[in-house]
Amino acid sequence: MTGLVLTAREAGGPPIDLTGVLPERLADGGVAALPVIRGRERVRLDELFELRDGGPSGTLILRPNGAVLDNVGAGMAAGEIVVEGHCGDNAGAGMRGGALLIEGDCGAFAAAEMAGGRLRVAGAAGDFLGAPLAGSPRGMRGGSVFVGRAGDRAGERMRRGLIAVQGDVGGWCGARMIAGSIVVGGEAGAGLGSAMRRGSILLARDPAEPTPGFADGGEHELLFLELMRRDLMAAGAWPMEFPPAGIRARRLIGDRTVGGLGELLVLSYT
Amino acid sequence: MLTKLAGGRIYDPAQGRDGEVGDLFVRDGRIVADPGTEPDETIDLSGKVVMAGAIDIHSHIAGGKVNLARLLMAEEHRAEPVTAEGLCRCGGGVATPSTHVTGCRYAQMGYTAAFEPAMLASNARHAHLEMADIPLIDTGGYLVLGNDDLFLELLASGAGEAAIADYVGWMLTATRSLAVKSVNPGGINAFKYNQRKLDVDAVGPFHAITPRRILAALAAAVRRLGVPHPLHLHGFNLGVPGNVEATLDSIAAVDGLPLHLTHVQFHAYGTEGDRRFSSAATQIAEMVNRTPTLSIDVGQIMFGQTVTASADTMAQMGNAGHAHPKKWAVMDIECDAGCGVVPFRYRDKAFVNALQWAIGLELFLLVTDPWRIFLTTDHPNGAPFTSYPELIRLLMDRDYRLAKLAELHPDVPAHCILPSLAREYTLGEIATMTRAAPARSLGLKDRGHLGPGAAADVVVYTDRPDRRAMFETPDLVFKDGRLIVRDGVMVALAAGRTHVVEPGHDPAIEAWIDRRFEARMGQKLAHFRISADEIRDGDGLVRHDCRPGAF
Amino acid sequence: MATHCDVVCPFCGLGCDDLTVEEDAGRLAVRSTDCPVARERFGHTPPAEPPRVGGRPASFDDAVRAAAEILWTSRAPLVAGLGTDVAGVRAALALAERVGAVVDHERSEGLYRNLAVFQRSGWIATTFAELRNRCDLLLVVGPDPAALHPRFYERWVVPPPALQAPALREVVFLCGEPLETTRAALGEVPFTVIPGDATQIGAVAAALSTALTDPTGAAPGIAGLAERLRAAHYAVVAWAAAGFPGAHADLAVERLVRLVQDVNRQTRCAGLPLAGYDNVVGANQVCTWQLGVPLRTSLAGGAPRHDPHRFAWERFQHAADAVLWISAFRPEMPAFATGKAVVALAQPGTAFAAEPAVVIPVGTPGIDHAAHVFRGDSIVALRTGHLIDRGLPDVAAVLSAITAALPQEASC
Repeated sequence: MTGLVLTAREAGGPPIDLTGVLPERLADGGVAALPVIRGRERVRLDELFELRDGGPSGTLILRPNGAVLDNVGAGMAAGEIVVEGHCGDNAGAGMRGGALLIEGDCGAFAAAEMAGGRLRVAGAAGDFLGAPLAGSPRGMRGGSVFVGRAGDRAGERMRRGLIAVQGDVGGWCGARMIAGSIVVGGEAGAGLGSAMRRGSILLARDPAEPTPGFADGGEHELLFLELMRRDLMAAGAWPMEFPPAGIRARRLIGDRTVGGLGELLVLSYT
Repeated sequence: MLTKLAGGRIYDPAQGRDGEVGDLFVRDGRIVADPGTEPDETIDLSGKVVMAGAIDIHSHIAGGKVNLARLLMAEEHRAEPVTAEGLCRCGGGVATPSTHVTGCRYAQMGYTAAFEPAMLASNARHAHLEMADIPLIDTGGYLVLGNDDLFLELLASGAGEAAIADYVGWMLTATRSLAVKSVNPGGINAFKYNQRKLDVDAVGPFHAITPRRILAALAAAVRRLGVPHPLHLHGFNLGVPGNVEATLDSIAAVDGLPLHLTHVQFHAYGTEGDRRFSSAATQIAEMVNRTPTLSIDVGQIMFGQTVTASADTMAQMGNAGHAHPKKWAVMDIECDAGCGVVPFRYRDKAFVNALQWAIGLELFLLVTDPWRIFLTTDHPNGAPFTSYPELIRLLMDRDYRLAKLAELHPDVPAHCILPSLAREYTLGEIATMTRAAPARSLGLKDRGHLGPGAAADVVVYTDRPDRRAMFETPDLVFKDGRLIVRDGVMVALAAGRTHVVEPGHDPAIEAWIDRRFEARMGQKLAHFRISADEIRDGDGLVRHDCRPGAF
Repeated sequence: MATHCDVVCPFCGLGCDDLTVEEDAGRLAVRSTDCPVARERFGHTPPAEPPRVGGRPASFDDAVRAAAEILWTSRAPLVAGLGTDVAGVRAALALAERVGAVVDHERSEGLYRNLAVFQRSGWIATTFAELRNRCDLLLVVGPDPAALHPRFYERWVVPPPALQAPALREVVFLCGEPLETTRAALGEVPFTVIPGDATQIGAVAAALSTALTDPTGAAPGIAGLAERLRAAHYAVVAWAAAGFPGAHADLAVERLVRLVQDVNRQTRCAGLPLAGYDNVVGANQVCTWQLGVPLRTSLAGGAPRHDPHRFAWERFQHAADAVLWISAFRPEMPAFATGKAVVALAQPGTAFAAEPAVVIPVGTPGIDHAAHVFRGDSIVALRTGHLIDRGLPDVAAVLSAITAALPQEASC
């Protein structure tokens, strides 16, 4: 049993919505006939993609070839999808298990309302990483996300899980966070942790613009950070340099304007 | 063209038929007596059950709060889209279906009319525009009165019965309404002044009138104007344990005038027992049974996710903490009334919800006259209207009912008398409760029955032991003589019509209203009033007679 | 010459229905108010023009056929602008369903600053007549809404409350300066300006929420305002989000919504999100009741898929190869990138950055034909009259004709 390699036939053109094209479908066969929407039409997958066997069993390998692919891995529960290139919007939205690996960048709302599994984006993720979809009061509630960079509103309304960003994140990271962990190796834009209730945002450096509503909680050596570092390294992604002996962090507690007890943890290297 | 519907078992309680085999003749959209000529078309209905089209007397299907509910139920619409297919346009939703889906689903279930029970005067134009987009079923709206500042001012000024009736009559006509509704009389207005609870005999914070007086005045006005349908009352303290007292107070307040109590299940609570929450269904049912001027609809809850949407801002503000998912909306509206939308999930393992379910069924089973009790879930407040077939099964099949009761929170059977109620509704009683009785109550003289002259809204069922399956998928549905559904599939599209009353009243009241609109409302009265040609692009109204003092 | 009284104005969402408009040989002039929006819109009635296909005059039927062809052969159509009345929006949705298009209104960006918050959290809100008759404390947040809705104060704030005791009202401006015209319009109504920056609206709202229960440490002005909110009988917090700066203005709106809920624990308070240009509120109402979901929805594949990010017209236009744009309230249209076939239903006299493939001039609701529109506070729907007849078709008629001209086979 091998996996399946899907190569888009046409570069450009309207975005292709790949909702439903999941590794789980490999077992039942019939992937070629799966309906996908491109622009206004619903067509068979194999009209838009060339399919051939390849890759490990239970894996879908996508070659975008210049096409814009939305909803890649949306709702996936098992198996693996590898995207050899860039993804459009909603990559891994609502995913519950398995792994989605994007070698390029991805658009907005990646891992939106994710419930489990693993998303890895080598390049940049767009805005609203792990955020809620329209009308949902809650964002990501499980799973782990590793990205090179992220845009605005990453981890908004996060309920559980882990988002690790190697480089910079945009503004409003962790806004209205309920719980969970965000790790930022680079710069964080304005509005960090705004209205957060619980949860932890670990930063390699001080946020450029402090968010009002956070009180200084002193500097601490935090064991859980060491445990987290080990977990992240085991997963192949520790976004930041760490000091050799013990991880200390300055703790900012807030957002007090909503009675929050979340924490911004700024790693201390001294 | 003359069509003969031959040999079905006809359940037409208005004509006294309880399953006798007979023929129906249809011509030009009406039932006609057998003309003696050869029919152009004969449809064999041997062995089938035949009833008139069902009528939903209380269902929130159109208007501002319904649209707000759709927006709040975003997750439901994401999960339950409806793809366009054949004649059915796309849309979605279950508790808050889009307009085309609403009409199609009702029709597929054998319903040929449904009425929006809480239409605000300031939002009536919106409600009518939205109703026009619901295909296949007739509609209409009940006008919410009793919290509008103009009415309260008129009442507080000492105006007599005649002036009050003129105001109500003018408003019904101007807003193209079918009946008068009152929601927590005085309460919605009081909430605008930060009053959070209601006492039936406490004067209101601004207009200084008691809710009891508001209620009495409206009931008297409805009687005086001769509007067929009684005052349709969403009572006080909805959902509050012990509210049976307020419900009994409201019955007393109208002093023998006709009164319809809506979604009475939510108003039938005592405070007994260790949980201080108990069923008062027996008390209410006894009152209904011995008061022939009273009718009720139940407002049954069914388990699952839905949304509560009503004009009762006071009650909904109180409910907001129980929202599931955690989001809700409340609006104060145009010196008129308000609305509150709170998504809600009824859980069978939660004692309170399970007892609410039992209370509703107790009401159905204890009220003896099927002409005075109507089948509703207060869609969507208790459950979506698509749950009606399941509800019918619970009423007609005692063993099924008891099996369901056993699945609920284990303390419930000891806190209600439902286990001991053996009654099973008959097909004739169902036909009464869902067709003949609502039509009569609303004054729809040519609907809800299959006598000559009636509109040919006819539904054909296969008699199945599983009553849910039976009522879920009628074989055939005719609307005004035209076949619209066959075996659950739409085969023709038709537009329904909007039912209204235009009660006689002294036009001098308009000057009184106009002065106040000019002074306060920022809207000219001429623009507030809805012209007949605005309803369904001009050909949409069915006017029903009012007969002062007759009902 | 004729004088029309009590004319309903459909343009900015305030729903003013008291205009006096003079008509002379097909030209209109608003006499009863200085409102720049009303004057400009009613004043713009150039004579009818014939439809155009490829820049050349064409018959109505030819233009309709050309438009239908463009939509039917497109791969990713966008039906947007939606600057039209209820009938026009209905027809646009029917057409969009047939061709599997994305639908959005030109003004949805401003709408979504409020709507996104409503969808995920709901709110407590009020309507104009409640503001006018019951509000004793009006808090105006952000850039003065009168910039977009010129008669707001005159119509809904200045008249003393008829249903409040005492019959008094005061206004507080927060994170925004009242315009000179506003200061004049307010007249005797007392008002205060608390200085602040529109970029700080969210933070200031949060500080106010905190100060309601714990005023220590609050900035000057904030503690005092918190106390006034607590003491009010019926406080209204009003804002025009379309004027808020920044791409994440919904987060600021969310803070305002929370503030209203916090004040409402103690006393009565409600929000008033001001919006409504070009019947955007009406378009959203119709879309929501017909599809179950609001604007920014794709009907590809025959079922509604709502996605305010992907299906915002400003984003989707880059993927679209055909755009049917409707702008009946204003003689303006955005410029679209080359390579898209554009069908424009526009007022005569609209200037285009590039000539669309098809242009069908249409009448203006409230001027050329009666129309149903929604007022910006989303509850009241109005019916306009009509004042002149330039022989222009209305949007609903044009869209119905285009839909009828589509091939009759099953849609996608």
